[in-house]
Amino acid sequence: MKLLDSLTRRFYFVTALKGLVMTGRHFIFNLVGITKRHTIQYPEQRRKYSNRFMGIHVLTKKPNNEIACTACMLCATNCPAECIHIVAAESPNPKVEKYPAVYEIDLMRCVFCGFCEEACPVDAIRMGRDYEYAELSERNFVVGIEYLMSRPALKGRNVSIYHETDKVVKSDFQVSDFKKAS
Amino acid sequence: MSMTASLIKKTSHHRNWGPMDLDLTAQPGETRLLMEHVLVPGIERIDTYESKGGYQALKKVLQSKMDREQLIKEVQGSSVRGRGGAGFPTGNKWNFVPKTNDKPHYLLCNADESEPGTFKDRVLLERLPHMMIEGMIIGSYAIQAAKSYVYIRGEYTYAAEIVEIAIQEAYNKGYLGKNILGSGFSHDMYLHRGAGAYICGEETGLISSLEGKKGWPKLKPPFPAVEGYLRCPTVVNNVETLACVPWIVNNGAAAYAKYGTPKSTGTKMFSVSGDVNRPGVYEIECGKSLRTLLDACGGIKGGRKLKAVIPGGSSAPIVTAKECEDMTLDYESIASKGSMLGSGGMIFLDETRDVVQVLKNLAEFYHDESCGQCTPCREGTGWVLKILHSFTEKQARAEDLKLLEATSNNMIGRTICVLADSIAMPALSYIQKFPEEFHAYLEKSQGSSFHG
Amino acid sequence: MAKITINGKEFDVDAGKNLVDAAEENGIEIPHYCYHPGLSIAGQCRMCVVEQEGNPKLQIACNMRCSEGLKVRTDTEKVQEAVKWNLEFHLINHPIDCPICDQAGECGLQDYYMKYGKYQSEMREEKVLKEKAVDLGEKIVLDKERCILCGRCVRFTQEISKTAALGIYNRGDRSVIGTVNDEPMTDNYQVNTVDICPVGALTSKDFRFEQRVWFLDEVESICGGCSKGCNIFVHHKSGKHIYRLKPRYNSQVNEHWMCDIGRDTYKNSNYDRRLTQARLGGIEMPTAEAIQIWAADLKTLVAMEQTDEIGIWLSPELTNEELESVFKLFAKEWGISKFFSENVSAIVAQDEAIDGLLYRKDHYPNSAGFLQATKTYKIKLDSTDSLVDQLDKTKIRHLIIFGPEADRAKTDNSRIANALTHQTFSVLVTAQLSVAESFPQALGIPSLSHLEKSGSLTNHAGLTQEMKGGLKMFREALSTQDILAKLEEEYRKPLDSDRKLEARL
Repeated sequence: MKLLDSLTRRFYFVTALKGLVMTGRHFIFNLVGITKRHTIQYPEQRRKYSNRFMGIHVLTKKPNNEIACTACMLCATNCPAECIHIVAAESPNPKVEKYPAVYEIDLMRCVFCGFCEEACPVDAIRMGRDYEYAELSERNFVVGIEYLMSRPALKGRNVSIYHETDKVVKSDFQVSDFKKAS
Repeated sequence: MSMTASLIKKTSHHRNWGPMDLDLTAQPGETRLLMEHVLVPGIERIDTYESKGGYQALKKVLQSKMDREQLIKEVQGSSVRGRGGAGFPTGNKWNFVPKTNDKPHYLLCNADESEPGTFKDRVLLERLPHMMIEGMIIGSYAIQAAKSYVYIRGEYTYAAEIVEIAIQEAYNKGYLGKNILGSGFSHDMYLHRGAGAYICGEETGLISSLEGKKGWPKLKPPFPAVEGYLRCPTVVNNVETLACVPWIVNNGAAAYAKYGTPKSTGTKMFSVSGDVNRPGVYEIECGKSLRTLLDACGGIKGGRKLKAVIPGGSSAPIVTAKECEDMTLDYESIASKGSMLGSGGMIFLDETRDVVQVLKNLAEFYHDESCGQCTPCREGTGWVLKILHSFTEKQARAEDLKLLEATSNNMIGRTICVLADSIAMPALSYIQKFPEEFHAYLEKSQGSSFHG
Repeated sequence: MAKITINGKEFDVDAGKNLVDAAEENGIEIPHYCYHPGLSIAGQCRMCVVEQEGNPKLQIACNMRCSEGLKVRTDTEKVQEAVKWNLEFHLINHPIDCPICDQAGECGLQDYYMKYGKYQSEMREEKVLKEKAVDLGEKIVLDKERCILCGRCVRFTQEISKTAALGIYNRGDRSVIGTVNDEPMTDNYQVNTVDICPVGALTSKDFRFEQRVWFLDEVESICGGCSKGCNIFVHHKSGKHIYRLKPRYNSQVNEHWMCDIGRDTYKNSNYDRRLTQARLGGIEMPTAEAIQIWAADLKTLVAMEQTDEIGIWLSPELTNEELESVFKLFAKEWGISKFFSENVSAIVAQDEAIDGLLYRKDHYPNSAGFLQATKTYKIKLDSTDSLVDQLDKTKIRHLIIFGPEADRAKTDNSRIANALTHQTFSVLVTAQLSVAESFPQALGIPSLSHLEKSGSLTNHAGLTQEMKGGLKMFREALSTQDILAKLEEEYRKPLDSDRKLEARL
């Protein structure tokens, strides 16, 4: 036995052969389709992700195509990666007080945790479904309002639920001379 | 529309009011001490007033240079209580004023009578202004005030003219001005017209308004007797209270105390409104039964049954007909029914009245008149009104009755003045005494959902 | 002293002290909106209710003075219920637009709601609507809906700034704060109303939407806007950008207030107005290199014993410590005697409170300390006139200018800049870009701005106050003391390093 052991050790090709058999088996089984394959034909084929998948963020809008965000910065406050940069300003629309003049997300820093979505009081930011994003320069991963709100993939359907319906039922009780600005 | 409702409509608008149109003939059951000569033609002029014994009390005080302490003791002895609403003994109020003279003292006459259901001062102002002026001069003498002011309600334009003339007449006769009747006491009196705010009838609100500020009540302490008008010792008395003073001086404290009950002496002028045959002003001895007053004003209109009485102006809690049976017209008896005599504005409601509507009507008034200083009143009056509105609009939820109670409870005693209490206390009493009417509204509201 | 009992615990407090303050000093919070220690008592928010022993009615603490034997409770159910409902009354007509409100994060309503809130509001009727975003002039925006009508601002304009600009109009729940016909406010103290506003009704235009307050940190400092020396907090975000200044209570100087001109001085510390890199003739370089160049020129003059050809112009805004190190190095160590400045004695003599409140005529924060330091080091000061004269006659070949921040010494600066020729080597130690640009030929060395400095300032009344510092917004900017220490170090380096330097140049 001792001799046999030393022989097998010395003749490593036995082990190598074992490995080859393993590879060969997988090759043949895959070829004839006995086992499940782990690769797919991307991009022709695509995986189906869970409904809760968190991809690139979406900024929602009001029905009049204005941004729904009020620049309260709760998303930026809540963001663990500190990847959200907002510059608030007076909105050009006189009925709206505050709006984000700049809303940027650094996708390279983002960890796609979805805390921003949870922090938002007005459903202005959601985690989207997109995950394909390739750029040559790191700088291009900082995306702004234009991309987050109006990229073609969204097909303009990103209307904030907060603004979809006028939830306040007007009663005739309080007749006010004042107009409410927001 | 009820009488209260029409009154509320009047108070919430600035209007120039002419002479009062009231039948003032004495009715059986009345005891007229103040209103004895109210029907004498021309009694608002000084000559007629003097011919009926006017200004005798002033002469008695000033010509004998009566000791101030003694004068105050006399008023204390009569136990006359403030007729404006709170019922604080007048003599005591005068006694609180410092006896030293390092700051000027002031006497203010509160003629800003704006409580819905109260209009007795108007009779005095229009018919017997000299009685009030005489009382004011005596009162000023007692508290060493060199100046006094009559703060008259803005809408009382006619009464203001009468008082203005009366003050001028008193100056001409030498009852006002320098060295009155050779006594060495000098006194000036001014008439100040309000601008139509209910809150300026509150003692400290009146002082703020007179100082030229917004009519906001002031924090107590300091009390006006120590720091009032222009931060000087000040006494604020109701018209009726001051009008009592000449009678007390003329006839003595004991004679006055003979009328009424030991704690509520004298007579009280009642403004009767609501569903009675002859609304008007009646002077009744304190301690007489409510029935006496009801008989004097001719009973309930149309032979209907009495449902409830609001005994002291709109801010007093309501008293049901059943409780009225043994109620007498004095401070203690009415207090024992959970209400107050207040200013004596009796509002009678007959059986056809809807208590919820009445309360909403009052809530509208107090919401409109809240000065907006203290948060519980400013926001609470509006909230109470909105809840009551949801009742009358049949949009109330089951829990709204509890909410109404909770809101009212949390308004009482939480503010600088008592305006919040003036709606919260009635609201609680209406709910407590007529819960079935509120429940009826709730049942009518069922099924309808209201999102606000 | 008086012994009072709050919630069963005895405390010794000053007799006559307001109960709200006395409780706060002893760690018991009595919530309040309308009460402010610097203003008169209004008693209208009703938040500070307490139960006084022997009084069945709840009392407001703000109208109570501490006296011997006063016994109150703030922890009873009755009090807590009252506070809860009072807060609810405050909130029922409040728009609760916290996301767009600049006050969010330091708002009295938010704070008390978390502590005493009813959480389940039963208000479902429509709120009273009022005007929003009303323009009240250059500095203030008013939101009438957010206002809880505590009246602090109104009392401030009546009692402190005495403009009576603000008032409460209308009554009941229609009451609003405002100015007559919405006219703008114009006085120099209006932003204090923003500070004392417990909610977001009055907000500062300068800070409007700039930053959420929870991102801000604060450091203590002294305002450098005038000789008053108001105590302030500097609110900055992670030491990179200063957003605003807030007054810090000091009973001896500014109490609770500061002026609006002082509030604007923070802008001088921010990036866009700062000299961020050392520069010479338009070429930027590291600060260390600039100091080497400076030391090389000084060394030749000192070595040739031509110290009378060195002039130093000082601004009275330097701190006492900066002045000390300047005088120690240049006057004591190197024997330089030509010091110039504006006519500080005259400035001090003419100093007065312009409007009777805080803001003073002397725009330098340390004139008194400056005069004191010159006395201590026996420095003879010459005027700018004399400096210009000597520059014209090329009697000065090395000029060092310390410190003008902002454009305070604009005329003097431009006169000096015009008089400078190529025969004079000039060094400018400043924090300010605009100043550096007015001396294009000088070697500019970036120093710390006033709000970053640590040191002491002596105000007009002779009170010396400490600035703690702690901010450093740019790596290249050094404190004056550090610059001088580096200069001395370079100066003492052996000759061969000088040769290397010359080779490099």
